Amino acid sequence: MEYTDSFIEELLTCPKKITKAPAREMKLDRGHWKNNFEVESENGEFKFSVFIRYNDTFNENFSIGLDYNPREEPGTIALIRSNGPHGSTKQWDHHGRTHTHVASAETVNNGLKPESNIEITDRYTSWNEALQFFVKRVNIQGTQVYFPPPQGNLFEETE
Amino acid sequence: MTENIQHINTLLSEQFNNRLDFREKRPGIFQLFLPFYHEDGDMVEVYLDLRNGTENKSIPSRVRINDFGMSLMRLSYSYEIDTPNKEKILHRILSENGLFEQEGHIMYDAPIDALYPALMQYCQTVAKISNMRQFKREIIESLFYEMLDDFVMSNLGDYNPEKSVTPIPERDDLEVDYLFTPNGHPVYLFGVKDTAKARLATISCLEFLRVDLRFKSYIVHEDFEKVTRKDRSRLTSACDKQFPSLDDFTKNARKFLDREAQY
Repeated sequence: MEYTDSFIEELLTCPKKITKAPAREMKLDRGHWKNNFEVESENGEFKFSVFIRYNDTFNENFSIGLDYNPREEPGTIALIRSNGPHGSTKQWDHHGRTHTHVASAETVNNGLKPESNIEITDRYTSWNEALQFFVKRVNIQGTQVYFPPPQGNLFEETE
Repeated sequence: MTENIQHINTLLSEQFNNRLDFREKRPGIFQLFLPFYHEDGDMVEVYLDLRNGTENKSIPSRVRINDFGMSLMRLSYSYEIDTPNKEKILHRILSENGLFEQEGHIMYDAPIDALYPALMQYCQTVAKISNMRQFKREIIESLFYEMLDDFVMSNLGDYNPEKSVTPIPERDDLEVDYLFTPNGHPVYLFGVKDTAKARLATISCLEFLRVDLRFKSYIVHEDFEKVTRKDRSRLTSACDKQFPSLDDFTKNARKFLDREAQY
């Protein structure tokens, strides 16, 4: 299948509902804390997996990602990952800024690591803030039950 | 501590031709910025842990390189080390490269005067661990037919295998994956990795029987249990011999082909 940027944006932004709930608490495993859950588009057409990770030693090293599970082919396509300041990147030679990896048609169609476009962001500073940013960015509904936004959510006014 | 890291910085900068940088991530833990990147563009996370022996002002003879769990955390985005076999593969990769793991941290105690090659080795090993995601079931499964072909053509060549044979010339929709002729009569081999292929193999065998072809039929399953019970039953009724896995086929194929040759 040939992907387009508009289809990827549709996958990213289509309203999604949780189909397999996250665990009540993050679980420590091999030096990092983790949680996973599954979502699908509200029209039932697209299925996705979400992962949340943060490092036990360096809590600021986190990653929250959305993988698309296409029905027509095996495997998954990483669409977006919100990361903490874990180090430099190839595109941004800095020493630690929060950033987001986003897929593009070019990277997916050319067999590159799908989420290899990197955007620097200052919209979150911790994994909890990144999670609130992430669920809004990828339009997951009903997350307040599992991940209540902190008081005075930083992103309320931007939506 | 300050003297130590300054000394290491000078030493490594020379060894790296000045293409590195340090940042103190936590007291005594220094993140190294090296020109090594994952496929997604992120830099490989490498830290020097100088916390041990900090009371000793002398330059240490060994320095601990550590990722503080970042490599396995990154791997877990798409692949979990959650079976004894995966665990075994991980630790084989680590031990073959002189590294070890504790609670998810991948470490290497490197001699100070050989830090450069140690870091090369470390980053190379981290890359190998990252590539364990290539062992994902859907990727391995997609290699089933290639693995079967590799075995047949490399190990069963003395049975003169022919690929993609149509026993009924006018029925090119009933194709056999391999033909062997150990005794002058055909043995047809089908690789089966899913229900669709199981059904095609069943239909093919039944059609060959219907037109009175003289043959034996072998089936190699990628995973016998994965085919539905009804499809297994139909296939069992239609074919002569089934190998439940590629592993079983590689172990026993010759025995069965040799038995055919005796008749």
